[in-house]
Amino acid sequence: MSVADPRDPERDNVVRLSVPAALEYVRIIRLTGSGVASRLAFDVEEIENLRVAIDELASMAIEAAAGGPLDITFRSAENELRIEGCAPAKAGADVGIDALTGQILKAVIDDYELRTDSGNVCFSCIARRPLT
Amino acid sequence: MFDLSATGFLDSSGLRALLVAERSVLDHGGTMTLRAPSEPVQRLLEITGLSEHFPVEES
Repeated sequence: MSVADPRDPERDNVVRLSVPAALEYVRIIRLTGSGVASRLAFDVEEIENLRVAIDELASMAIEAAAGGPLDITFRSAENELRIEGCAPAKAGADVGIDALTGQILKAVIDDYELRTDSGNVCFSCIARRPLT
Repeated sequence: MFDLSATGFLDSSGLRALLVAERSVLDHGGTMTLRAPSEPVQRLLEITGLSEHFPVEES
């Protein structure tokens, strides 16, 4: 985990994590996401949903990654947590989401995306809470 | 029988592994039951519709 970029106007609400792009590190990403969501007062079920979404998306990104770091940003706002992660992609990496995984993601997270972008494989997801 | 009592987290890879195992069991004339899935595991089974597919034996 690192200190947020001081030039980032939202730095007070950003947590950054950089891990090797390997499946054994997915648990650390899940744990970090759980901690940030807990700080935002997500309830137990919302946190469990987020853990599932992070697991699915980060695992797929890692499978398509060529190694190197997977850099993840957890950006929190009043009623949402936005997570983005990118790693260098394997040449010709295919990042399709199969039906089972898509079914799970649709049930547990508000928005999600997995894509290749300028030689990187990236994922993002947004978990929203009702405004109180 | 697959004892899931110590499995606190399951993802789609784990579900696929269960489905592959079930196929093997069925090919050998058996039936497969899940034992004591935790709440998060049970929830994932429900999300994917597999809770009705796999018989579950509570602990």
